[in-house]
Amino acid sequence: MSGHVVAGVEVDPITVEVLRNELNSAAEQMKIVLQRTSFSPVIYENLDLACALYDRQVRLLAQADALPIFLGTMNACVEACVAAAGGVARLEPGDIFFNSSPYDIGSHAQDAAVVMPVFADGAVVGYAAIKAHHLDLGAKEPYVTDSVDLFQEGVILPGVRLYRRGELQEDLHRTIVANTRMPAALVGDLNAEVAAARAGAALLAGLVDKHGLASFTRHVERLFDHGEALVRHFLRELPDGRHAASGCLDSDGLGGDPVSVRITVEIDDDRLVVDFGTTPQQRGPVNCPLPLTLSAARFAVMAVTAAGERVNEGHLRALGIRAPEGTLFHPVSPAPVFLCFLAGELAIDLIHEALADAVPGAIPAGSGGDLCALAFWGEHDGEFWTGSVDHLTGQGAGAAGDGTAPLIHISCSGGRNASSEVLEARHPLRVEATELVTDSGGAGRSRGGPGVRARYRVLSDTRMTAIVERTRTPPRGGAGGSPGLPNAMEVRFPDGRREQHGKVTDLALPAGTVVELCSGGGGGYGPPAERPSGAVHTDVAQGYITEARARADYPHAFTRPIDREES
Amino acid sequence: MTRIGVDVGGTFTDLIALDERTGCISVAKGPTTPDAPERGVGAVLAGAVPALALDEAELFLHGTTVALNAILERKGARVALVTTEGFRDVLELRRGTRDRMNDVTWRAPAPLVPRNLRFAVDERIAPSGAVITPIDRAGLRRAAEDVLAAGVDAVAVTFINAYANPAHELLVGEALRNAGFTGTVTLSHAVSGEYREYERTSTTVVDAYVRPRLSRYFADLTDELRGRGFAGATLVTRCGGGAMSFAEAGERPFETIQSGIVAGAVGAGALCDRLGVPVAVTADVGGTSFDAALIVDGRPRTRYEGVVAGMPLQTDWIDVRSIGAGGGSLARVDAGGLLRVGPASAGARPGPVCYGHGGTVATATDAAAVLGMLGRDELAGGLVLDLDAARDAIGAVGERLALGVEATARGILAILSSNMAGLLRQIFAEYGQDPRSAALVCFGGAGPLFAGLIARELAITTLIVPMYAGNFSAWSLLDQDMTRSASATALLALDEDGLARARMRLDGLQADLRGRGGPSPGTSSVESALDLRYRGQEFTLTIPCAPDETPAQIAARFEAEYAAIFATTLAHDLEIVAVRSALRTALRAAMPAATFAPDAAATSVDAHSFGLGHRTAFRVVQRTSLAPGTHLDGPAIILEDTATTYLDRGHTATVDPSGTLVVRTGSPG
Repeated sequence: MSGHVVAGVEVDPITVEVLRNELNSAAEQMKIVLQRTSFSPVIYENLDLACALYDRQVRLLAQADALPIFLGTMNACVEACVAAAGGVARLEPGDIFFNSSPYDIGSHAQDAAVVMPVFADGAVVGYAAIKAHHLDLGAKEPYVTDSVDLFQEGVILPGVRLYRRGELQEDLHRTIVANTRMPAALVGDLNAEVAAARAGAALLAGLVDKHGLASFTRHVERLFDHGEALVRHFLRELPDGRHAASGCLDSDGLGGDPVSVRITVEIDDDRLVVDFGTTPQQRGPVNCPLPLTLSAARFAVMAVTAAGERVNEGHLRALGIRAPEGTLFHPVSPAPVFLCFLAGELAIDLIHEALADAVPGAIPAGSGGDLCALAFWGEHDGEFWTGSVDHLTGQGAGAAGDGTAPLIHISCSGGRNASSEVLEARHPLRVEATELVTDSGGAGRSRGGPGVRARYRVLSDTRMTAIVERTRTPPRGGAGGSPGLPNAMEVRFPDGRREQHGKVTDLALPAGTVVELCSGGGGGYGPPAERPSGAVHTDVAQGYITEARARADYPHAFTRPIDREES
Repeated sequence: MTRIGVDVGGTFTDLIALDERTGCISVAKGPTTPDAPERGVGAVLAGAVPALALDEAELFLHGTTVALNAILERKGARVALVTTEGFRDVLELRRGTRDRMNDVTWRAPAPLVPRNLRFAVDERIAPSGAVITPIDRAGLRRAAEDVLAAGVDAVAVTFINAYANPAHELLVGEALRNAGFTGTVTLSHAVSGEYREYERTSTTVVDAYVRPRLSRYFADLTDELRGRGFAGATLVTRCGGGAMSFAEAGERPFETIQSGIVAGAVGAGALCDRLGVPVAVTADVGGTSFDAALIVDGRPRTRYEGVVAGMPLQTDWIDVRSIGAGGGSLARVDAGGLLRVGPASAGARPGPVCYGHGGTVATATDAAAVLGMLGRDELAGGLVLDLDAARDAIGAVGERLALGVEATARGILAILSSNMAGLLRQIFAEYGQDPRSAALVCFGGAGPLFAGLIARELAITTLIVPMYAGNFSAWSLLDQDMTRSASATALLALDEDGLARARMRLDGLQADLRGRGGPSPGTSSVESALDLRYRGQEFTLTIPCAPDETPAQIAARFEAEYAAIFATTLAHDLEIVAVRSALRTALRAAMPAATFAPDAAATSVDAHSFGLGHRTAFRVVQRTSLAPGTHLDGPAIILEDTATTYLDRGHTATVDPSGTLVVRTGSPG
């Protein structure tokens, strides 16, 4: 590899690598500033955020490790703010934009973006962009699962200046704060976003200054070429072809039938296109705005093709998407989008399922497929309280072996489940169990990992909104393995009534009600008949599966004496 | 009074002994004997300390990786876990995180206790400490019998909310003894008084897992030392800093994890304290890893949760961060045509190409050798550097980049130092400190070699090179205080009543600490702190508190610190979340004045100057020739047995009375 020439000028490969380190380090520092200064645990503990730096053409320079499903939406946030300002020429040093318009930013209004242009010698040289989840921004309820248009879902501020030439626009700030049920948290988190955007902008300006704009620009081009070369090299090794996968959401959020989705991945030489199919736009809030659709494709494909590298614009060049207007994955405003992440999760899983055919051995079987989020609130001892819990789901088995411990869905990787002791110390809840669900993982040469049973008893009258998806479709098996059990939730009222729910809004739970969530188990991988007998008997001894289930799924393990060496 | 420090690392066992009367210092090094580390310790002692001195020595301070290795190699005890019904799988469930966030194939490592050795007993305690479900006596007996039948070496017991009421855990301990169990038992409330069941369970299990191995090791090592005539006190360093007696370590073995790595950070803190340096960061560079810790006011920053091999430990934890970057870091050209350095390392074997032990891939040390930065072609111990082989290896990398040997070597070091600077930037950002006003304390075999390059990246203008830089971790063992600490979750309002109750909890913790027994020479000072937060927020700050302070005074200090981080304060009430107590007994050595001997003949070498951008003549100076008070202007290369200091042009070193080099790099960049 000699003489990389960009625009007729020789580029130094050492400087490219140093610059790559510096840009990635700058994005991570933005994240640290945001985490250190944010008010809400969802930001500093669950990593419900994104931080990225762009060049003047809004090409991704670097992004911090953060909420995977957010990352690919950030360029759209920047572009929308620049467009709202009337173009690059209208930007001024010290400007900071706020954008909560879902079709601009690719998520519900609560995930408003904060964007700051970066200047050097009076000219725009790039952008710092932040996204973080605000607990409430003027929706009809703090968390909405049954909206029918955008206007029920939050306050829409379409790329407006929160700071103009460094001056806080106080009228706007007051307007934002007036539209939340939790003003202290919103103000705290907004300050944190501004601090992080400013830190990112200063770091990027510093790097441009250190290298000089001309050298910075040349080396960035080479950096992009490097990322592009890595991904194209990977894709070229794969056979050309089309691979489809189908799945469905339980409902559109308003009840009714499952929403079917079919996604096709097309590999052609060194390019990859994700076709999101033609599922129509829905009346309920599961629609996925185009920036989020693109983000799901970017995350799912990069997780396989980028070999664990930090992604920049170059890595993304070989990827295309197809999503016709008016469909679930390219809805038209004002279709409601509050639960867009459910479609995003499903898209990631289906893209991976499709890629499993194209890249044998690289993709495990399906997982529980959702965050299974429950939010509780009520009044206790005269005070309003609210608490939420996400759940781990069973993980698919793969070429590397059995599914092991349940994990947070990959779309929200970086989040953590709640501690039972902390929940009990803070809220009138008793956690009666949090344990593995026997027989929940799918059978296979490698067994799917078990899901989790979490049982909550409410100690005073409580209300609950639940967003539990994928209760009607089991996690798929891989390479001949069996599916796992799907997510399931049951509510047991003190009067003996029992109800099964998936997505439900504002359900009244009288004191003494028990909510039991069983998250799905992972799919098995490879034919069950190929599982060594010893492994089957170990699973029974460990209580991962019952003997009855073992006899049904693995009869070969019971037709001859156990091979002692295998066990 | 003679004190002996022995640090057992993965490859070498390092010894430093100090006779405080004469100021005489002995240094020795030998191979680590992993199967029985006490034998390697004995061998090094035999070589370094005359028998008479060992008889008279009063302190043996130890850094060990026995507990860490037991976990990394999964060679600990067979452990059973007794838990609350419904919570059998807490250990396996973890918190649902991935080590590699975007990796769909990442799988959690197997828990230290397999599922069939986890036994649930029906019982329940509320967060208030009230008993909701009395323990099921019959179930308890069954569990004890199951444990006995399982043939385990150790038992860990973690009940939900036991931090608030240990009664049921204590009953399990009794039941196990009554059933005839003779192995070790670890009860979670004795390990940690804080809530978060996964973290407390993990800590309890790690303790149980390493306990039998570590108890045996301490017994064997004590025999080894006594057999050689040593009659003094034996201490080992703790992951929260400072040292504890072997007896106490036998009771709290989890606290010895990362024992060695922490010693260097604590020693660097003590050094900064003596030099009056308020803020510093360490750069401990070995062959494989780069370890860094932030030091403020003479102490490395501490967290209250550590992690080992992905398992959390609920304990004081000196915040040392590591990345794979060091002298042995390998250089390669990736599929996209960029030069990458590390994290893979040539390690001790085969090591860098220039060592001639069979290495064929260029390393950072080879780059430094080619650029003349090592100042010589013969290392201590008589190893002759093979510079031709190093040039060939670097040339092979350069060919793929269309770069010459020198440019490639410079590039390797530029990338290595940018990786290291990245870690330091992250640490500074997390603690809200400005690197430009901090000093860089560099040690480890390659620290003083690369420190100047790292400092350039961060605009740091002061470097500190301690004496015995290559053995500084062992040296630091001599510079520890004796410490003990304990903590407890206590959710209380920060008002007169809440604070009074918090003080009662603190008194209880102090009584526990004093009651641990064992030698505690001298008088101890008490350090108390409260974890505080605004009501409604999860984020806490740990604020030290004095016995006579009012809630308002403590609140004012919380708010000042909060404002420093968040640039704002809130109108909310404050809440106490946890109380923390520590006992500290001063034990630090009186540091001797450095001794020096004039240089026989100063030489010079042609080496690359990063400041000038080309090669120039560097003076080659023996560190032992630098008398206190000496000013030495770069370019110069300073040699000592275990490390090489690279002093670029424009850098000036001053030798302080202890022999420490304080380097000013002049204007940044």
